[in-house]
Amino acid sequence: MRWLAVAGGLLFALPVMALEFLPPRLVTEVSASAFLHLDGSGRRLLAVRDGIIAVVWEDSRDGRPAVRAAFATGDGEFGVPQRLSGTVPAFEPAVAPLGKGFVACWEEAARIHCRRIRREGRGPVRILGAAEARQISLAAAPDGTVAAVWAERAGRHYRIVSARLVVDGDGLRQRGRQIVDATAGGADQLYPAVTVTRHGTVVAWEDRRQGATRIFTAFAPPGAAFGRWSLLNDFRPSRIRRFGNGTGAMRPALAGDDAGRVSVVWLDKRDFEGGYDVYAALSPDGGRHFGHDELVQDPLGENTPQWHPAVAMTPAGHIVAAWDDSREGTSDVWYSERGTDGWSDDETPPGGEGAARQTHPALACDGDGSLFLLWREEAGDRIRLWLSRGRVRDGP
Amino acid sequence: MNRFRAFFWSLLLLMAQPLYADPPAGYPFVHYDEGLKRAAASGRPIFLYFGRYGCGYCGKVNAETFSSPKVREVYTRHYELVYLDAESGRRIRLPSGEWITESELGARLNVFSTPVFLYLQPDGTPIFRAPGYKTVADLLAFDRFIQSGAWRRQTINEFLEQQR
Repeated sequence: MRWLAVAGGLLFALPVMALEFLPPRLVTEVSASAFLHLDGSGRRLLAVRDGIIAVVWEDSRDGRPAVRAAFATGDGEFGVPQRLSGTVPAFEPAVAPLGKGFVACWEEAARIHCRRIRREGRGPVRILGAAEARQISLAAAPDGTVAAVWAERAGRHYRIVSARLVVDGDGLRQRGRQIVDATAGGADQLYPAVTVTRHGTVVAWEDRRQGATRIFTAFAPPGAAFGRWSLLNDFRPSRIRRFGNGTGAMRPALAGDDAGRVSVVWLDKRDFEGGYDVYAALSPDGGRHFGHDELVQDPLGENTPQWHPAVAMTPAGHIVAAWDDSREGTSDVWYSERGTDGWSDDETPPGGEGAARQTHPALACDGDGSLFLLWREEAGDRIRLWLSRGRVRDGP
Repeated sequence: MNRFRAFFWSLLLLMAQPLYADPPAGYPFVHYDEGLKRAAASGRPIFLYFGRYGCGYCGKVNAETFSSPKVREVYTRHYELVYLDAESGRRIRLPSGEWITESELGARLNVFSTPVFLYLQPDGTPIFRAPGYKTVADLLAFDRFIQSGAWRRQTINEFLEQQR
């Protein structure tokens, strides 16, 4: 009954929305002889601070995978990409606003590397911890710090580690490092996502302790340790349980708003005939409790697998989820808004559909309520990143 | 006391059962990169098994099909065996030189229901895919399709029809 009350309370608080995306602008492009990827835990691949947009990705334009960033002001053009990583292959970056610029982190040589970045230059690299680590995700916190979560090897398995990143001169300092959940035992915890609201910090991750990949969450009030884990996703036990522990779920992404509400999306295979679906859950209290699971994509996407889910919330609480699927023959970017009546019919942004392959969306919003949708396009002999700005307007 | 003993044995029984799907026991399945390297050296085709952690039908096909001595003998002799986890973030390197994760390869190949079996040429070029649970007879027929070279001139369905 408590869950009903939680979900119901949130439902009534959600405003009616009308979201429009503008024609996209080019972020960067490479020839098809190079590779360009828009992947990262929690899909925190763009951030906005004081009207400046920062985008991070990985590409091999100079021969091996490197993490790069590009910046744009307002609706202006993106500048020349800056290389952030070193000389060995680097992967799966994340970015968040910090200080008067941003912080970017990525995986390089099996460690998490971070540095402050601005259009004007980059700060020194800081490596988070000595253990093997991967899958960094970031979120700006109301106190001006950045919450970082990543998967760190401990013995044979990975566990989720959390810390805060703060400005330290030109560089960064890490503080408050803690293990998010130390009870997994002999099972991997992977692909964390994080968001911070006035209520505290919530982390979601893939957890394999129950014999199938499931989404767990843990909540920490401000300045306190994380509490006990909660299982987020409903799951369907295997019809042949003797041989397996049920359908999987993966790749959570989180967002929060100024009121402390939180939304989480993930891929879920409970209806496995159609492959992964995008599911969501909403929390009215910063992620301490979540309501029931909600199917995000509309019935037209039911028989097609969905991939790469992302979510954003405006400061006022408008929720938008995005993903890619090939319901119309080739991969396109789709999004849905969460209104009072549930998730809207699916839409594609201008340029997000067509004969080319448009995939791997990521979302972010600024303090004024603008939404930014980033995606990857593979067309002919070019791979491009596109960014579209969207505006949410109240009313029917 | 009896109740405690029953609980103890139930627990042991539960622990003895496979909790999740892995490559079938007794087969030399290797990582994707290693499999491609071995195929380039040996000239043997690649048998790629896309499983998923906790996948029921992967466990079923492991127990009921890959337990066959004939399947084990044929597949170990004829193929470089590669196992991929469709939800894994483990990184692999494609023949093109591109680094992606196992799950990303699954997304590109539209592997949305496991198990999926793919037969590849030694250079990694796909020959055909066989999704879902397969019997011993299925896997042995697929092997004949590959080893006879019939895949160069007909589809798997045409081949199977001809075999009837």
